[in-house]
Amino acid sequence: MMLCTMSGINPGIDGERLPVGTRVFRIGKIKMSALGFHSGQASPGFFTLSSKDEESAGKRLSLWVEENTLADEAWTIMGEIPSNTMAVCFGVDVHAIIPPEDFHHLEVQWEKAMRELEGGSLVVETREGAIGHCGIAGLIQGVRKPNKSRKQKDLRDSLASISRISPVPVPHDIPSNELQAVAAIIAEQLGITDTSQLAIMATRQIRRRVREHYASLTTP
Amino acid sequence: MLGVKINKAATVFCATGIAIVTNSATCEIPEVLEGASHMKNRIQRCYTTANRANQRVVESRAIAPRIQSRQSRDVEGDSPPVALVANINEHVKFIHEVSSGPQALISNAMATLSLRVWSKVQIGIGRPLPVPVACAGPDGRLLYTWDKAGHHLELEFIPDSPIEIYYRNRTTGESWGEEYDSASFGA
Repeated sequence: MMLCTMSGINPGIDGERLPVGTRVFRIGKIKMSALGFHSGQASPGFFTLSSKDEESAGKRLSLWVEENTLADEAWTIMGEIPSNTMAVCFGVDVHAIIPPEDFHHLEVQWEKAMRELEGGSLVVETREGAIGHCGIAGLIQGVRKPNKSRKQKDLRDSLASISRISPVPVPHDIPSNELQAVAAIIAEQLGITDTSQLAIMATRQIRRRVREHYASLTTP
Repeated sequence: MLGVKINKAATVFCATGIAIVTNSATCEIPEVLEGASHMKNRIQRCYTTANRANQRVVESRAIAPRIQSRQSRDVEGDSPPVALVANINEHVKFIHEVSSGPQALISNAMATLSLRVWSKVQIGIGRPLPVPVACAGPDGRLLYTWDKAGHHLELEFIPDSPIEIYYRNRTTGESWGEEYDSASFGA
């Protein structure tokens, strides 16, 4: 049996705002010290745009919709880089963050995932989970002067303060038979027979168990 | 000029409670730059403290198991230095990891600079500063952060750019930032 990603949200057109309440995650193109990982609090470093992000048309920071993409799928699309093991999660209600004076609100917008071919040309990514790609716009505003830089840091820190580090590193590498077993249990609980759309729910169940396990280790 | 700037940074560290000082006079900055060698000495001293604490635990276990539990609790009072050593050790190892090998995220020069600046600010404050959360990448950047209650403090190292210090009170939203010339730290 092949488990597919459940398409929870219909992707909008490029630049369209995501529905309120949507949960998104970001896989860091960074490495963070263990002290930060254990705190569970995301570092603002997760929300630093790379020069490539800054040069892109939308100047967005890459994110993935939890309902549409498994962390492992996102990790694969991002090139399976072994050092990219940390993910942070937050809700897209980032417009609630009050922007500094003269700055716009942050916004999470749909963005088609693109794939770079040999030779440098870009094509639309079609691999499993690609439909969950989106990006956060508004982190780069103004010109790079000390005062603007401080305001950009204000936004970056606001975002970090509402984000949590996933305690389960990526890739999850959950064995498919275990995923299927959990999906079967969920299907039984929900009274449905088709388990093919339950991969995300099953993954969440397993991740929740892992979180509880880690919490039990640290609780006196 | 450098002394004035560092003094301001040290004052921020003190004022935010990221590091607690009992005497504001300790914010004076020595003119002589102390870099990695100072850091090494500091780590060595912390190791000695930790080893002594650990040794007491070992001895207490060997002598009297009933007393041991009480002594272990006493030793918990010494846990900050032990934890500090572990954190310093982990931090230095992390900086070494992200600046070594073909997959290095930051340059060796930046690794040295970051440890040097951290050390310099500690000198300014006059006592060990909590180990920062370090975040390396993208584009060879390195970010140090400290969080305590609503206080958030950053030191950001960007290749070919000044070092940026940034403070934000997450409760009130107030923020402050300043730039340092990395060349002043011997970069």
